[in-house]
Amino acid sequence: MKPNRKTVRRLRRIAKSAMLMSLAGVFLVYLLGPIYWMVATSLMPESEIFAVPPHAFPHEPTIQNYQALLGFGEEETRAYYNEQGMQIQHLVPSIFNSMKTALLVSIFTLLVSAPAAYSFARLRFRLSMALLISYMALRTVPGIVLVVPIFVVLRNLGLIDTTLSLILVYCTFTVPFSIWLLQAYFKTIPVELEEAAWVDGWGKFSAATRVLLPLALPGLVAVFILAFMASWSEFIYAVTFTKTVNSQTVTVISSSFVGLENSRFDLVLAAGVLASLPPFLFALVVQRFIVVGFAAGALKG
Amino acid sequence: MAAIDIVQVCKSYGAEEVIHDLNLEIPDREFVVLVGPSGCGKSTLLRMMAGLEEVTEGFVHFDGKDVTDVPPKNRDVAMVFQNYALYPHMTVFQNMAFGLKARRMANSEIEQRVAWAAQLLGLSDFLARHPRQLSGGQRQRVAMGRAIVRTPRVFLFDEPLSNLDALLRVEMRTEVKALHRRLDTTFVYVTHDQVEAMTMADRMVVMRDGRIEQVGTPLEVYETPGNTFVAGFIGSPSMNMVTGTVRSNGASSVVEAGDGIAFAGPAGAGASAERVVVGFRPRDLKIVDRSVPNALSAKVEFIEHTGVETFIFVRIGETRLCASVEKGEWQGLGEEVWVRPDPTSTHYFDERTRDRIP
Repeated sequence: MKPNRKTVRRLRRIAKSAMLMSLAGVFLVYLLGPIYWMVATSLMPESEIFAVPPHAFPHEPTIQNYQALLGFGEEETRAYYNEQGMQIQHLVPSIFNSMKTALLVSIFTLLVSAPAAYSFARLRFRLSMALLISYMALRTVPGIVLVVPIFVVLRNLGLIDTTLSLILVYCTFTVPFSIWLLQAYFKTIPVELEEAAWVDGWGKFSAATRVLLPLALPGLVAVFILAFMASWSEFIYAVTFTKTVNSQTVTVISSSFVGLENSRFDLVLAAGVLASLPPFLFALVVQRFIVVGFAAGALKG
Repeated sequence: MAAIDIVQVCKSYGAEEVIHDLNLEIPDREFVVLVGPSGCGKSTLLRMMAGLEEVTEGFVHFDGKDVTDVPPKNRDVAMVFQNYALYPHMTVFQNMAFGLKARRMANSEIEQRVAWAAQLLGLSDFLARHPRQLSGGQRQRVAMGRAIVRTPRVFLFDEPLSNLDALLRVEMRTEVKALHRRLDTTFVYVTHDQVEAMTMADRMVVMRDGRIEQVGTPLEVYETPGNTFVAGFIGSPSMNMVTGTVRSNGASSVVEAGDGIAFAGPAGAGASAERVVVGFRPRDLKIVDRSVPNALSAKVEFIEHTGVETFIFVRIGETRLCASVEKGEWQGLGEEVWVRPDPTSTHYFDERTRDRIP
């Protein structure tokens, strides 16, 4: 019997969604696999990490790595780590350093890039395109090329081993990128909305803050998150420009657990979990502001 | 309330001049419609009145006071945009109150005024909604509400109805007109739709290529178009226009076009051999008996029924003309008919200058 058309169509639909689902599944494993491995390994004692064949999950789960990093561990264990040059007691302060740096970078980036993006999006001036392109072009220089020159400049300014130095350096790459992103976002918001506000009796500044910025909130949040993440995970500049727990960030401290003579991967991974938590929670909180399509209905829909 | 005076205004974008030395006086409380094909500069002119567009040369006066360099926020005008430009993140109430807030009005008065405008426009039930939850017509009303709560000196409308469907457009047309009567303020209204212009205007300003072609009441413009452009632009279907040469023979004269066509010539005919454009509206092209003098033999090519009247498109040699007759009066395609423009409603224009010959 020939299956009728309805059945064929349904089968086809099922096959299509099955294919999409399995692709999504593969991608999910690809994304979550490393994170799972990090969390699982951080809960294993060192002896279990190198077990052959490897354990897919901790057979003797332990939180001793976390205890050590957070300062609750036994006195002698910590003393033992310190002897080996791993400053595990510095991990928590370094998370605060990272937080301070990332937040200040994000705030500063917003304060500078929003007005700059407004000029690129709304004002006509000579060389605006040339300026914009040069911002982008400068971003293509690999960061590592600039490490030594920037180090010399910072040393001459007496800024080595300060959070300020990191903030200044991080902004040099977050700001141009954010200007690009925001000016493109501003351009998607109809200029008539601001014109309506001008005619309604508001000045240019008020129109921008009361009409443009609220509508650009998703773009502003995206810029904030991107700047935060970029500063949080940055390593090369941080390891070069910081020396002490004054300004060392979490990436620097975590890396200290892997040395030439002795490496403690259990600590590295536990530190990795701790270091991932703040940006993860942060993104969870602010992502709800990234609601696309907020401007729908402004103009004829 | 304000009279607007546009004095020798030019507007250029870079090297390209889009408004050329334009003068226009708009008396207080008048409903003026700027009409013209797209790109004629009518919106630019309106935006210069609002202060949204810089004036390259010349002046804009409100009540005799120079406001050319006054920013929009200090002009006390209200504008309704073609795409409404409602603030999407604000409710209907907040949209209408936004302009009052800029003037630091007391909250109680703001509420009173918004309530009044909402009542007038039938928006009272929608004050808590956001623009995206409204239909096109309701959004249009909010845009007008935002303008009227402020009781500004001048209302500016930039093709406000062009995004509405045909039925709603006709309805809103009457509402805007009623609003004008009620508010008794200067209205400047831009449209490319000549029907909108004809029906709404106290005075209409026909524009083309950054210049004013004619200013007058709708009937003046319709009945005595100042040149061939206005004649062709106003009225639908367009005026028939045929170019010919004047031949005067004593007291009367005729205009001879090709294909053996001859029309009655202009009264007080100019010099013989002058080239003129003869214009007559479809309504004035009559179907006549072949014995009538100057009757032309024509072949019926198309017939369009509108329900009210019927348009008959005829051909004389290479010349195509349109006649409008009462509905049902005509059926035959391909037939031969005799037509003649009503000599009392025939317009004559100079072929070279394209201006009206009085």
